[in-house]
Amino acid sequence: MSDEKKDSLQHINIKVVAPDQSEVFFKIKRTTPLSKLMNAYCERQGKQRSSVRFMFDGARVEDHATPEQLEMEDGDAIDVMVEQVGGFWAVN
Amino acid sequence: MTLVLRFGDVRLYDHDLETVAPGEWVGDVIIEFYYEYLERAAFPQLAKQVQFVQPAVACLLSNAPDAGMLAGALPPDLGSKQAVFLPVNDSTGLEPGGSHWSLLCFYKPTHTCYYYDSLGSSNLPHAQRTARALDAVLGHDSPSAFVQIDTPVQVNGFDCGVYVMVITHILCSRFASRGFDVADKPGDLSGWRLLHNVPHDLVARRRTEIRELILKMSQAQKAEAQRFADQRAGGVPRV
Repeated sequence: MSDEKKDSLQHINIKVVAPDQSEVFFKIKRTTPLSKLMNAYCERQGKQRSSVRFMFDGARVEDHATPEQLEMEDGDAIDVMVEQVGGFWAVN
Repeated sequence: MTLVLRFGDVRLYDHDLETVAPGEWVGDVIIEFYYEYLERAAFPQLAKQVQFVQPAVACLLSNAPDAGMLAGALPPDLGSKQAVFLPVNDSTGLEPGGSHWSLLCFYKPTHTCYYYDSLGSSNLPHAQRTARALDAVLGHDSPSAFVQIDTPVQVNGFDCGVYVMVITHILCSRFASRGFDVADKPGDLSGWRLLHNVPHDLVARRRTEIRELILKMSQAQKAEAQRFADQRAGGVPRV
């Protein structure tokens, strides 16, 4: 088997889609925990990890989950949602 | 980040749990958890007729340039639900944040959105946008009516999210007891009015109860996982 082919079996391209539809692409091993991807995304975007939710097929992605476990396919998208909070509306 | 609880599709982390501590601004995951709890545990008999929309999806709806495109992100049977609850936040959904929660309930039998805001009309434009987006998603020929219901004004700067959860619970209790067949006479809001139902101390108490509920479920889940691990460790090796 060629190295290139082996590589495409082990690795997968995942895009992370932000609320404004901007996309960031990651190449990741199928067996690598997705926390690596999520941390890298947050670092790159200057966001706190706790203020961002990563969603795949409608469910929140857990740190230890791998592309293999979630049955991700090459080119699949993870959606990013940001935290919403509320307490009151301050009138200045 | 430490995972505190798995419940249905909800994943609640320690950071989320902090937002329901006394005096804190409530985060979207707490409302998402409570909605899942209402659907699965408190009112399973309403599951066919009531849709609890999670805050992240409501935010998408409210801010989408073309909400009609979002139908795929919503439950396919949304149009058949008698009531749809949507938490409304004033955030844009682009950056983490927001400052106020309020509640919109679309009721199919009267083709009306009922709106509850513990600070008067603070979130009104956001709620109206959400209502129009829901019309687009459901393909309504005529826009649903929009009615603001007098809501007790919160007495502090942090409980709006708890009001959303308390009011949703009250309306669910009413649906559970009266069903959906009762046709409101036009303009009759008696089934929607609240004022005497939401004393401030109830709201404060409910915040504590929700936090304790999460902790209790979390502990039960940890104990279960431990039992499972013990069994595997002490049991006969699998062949």
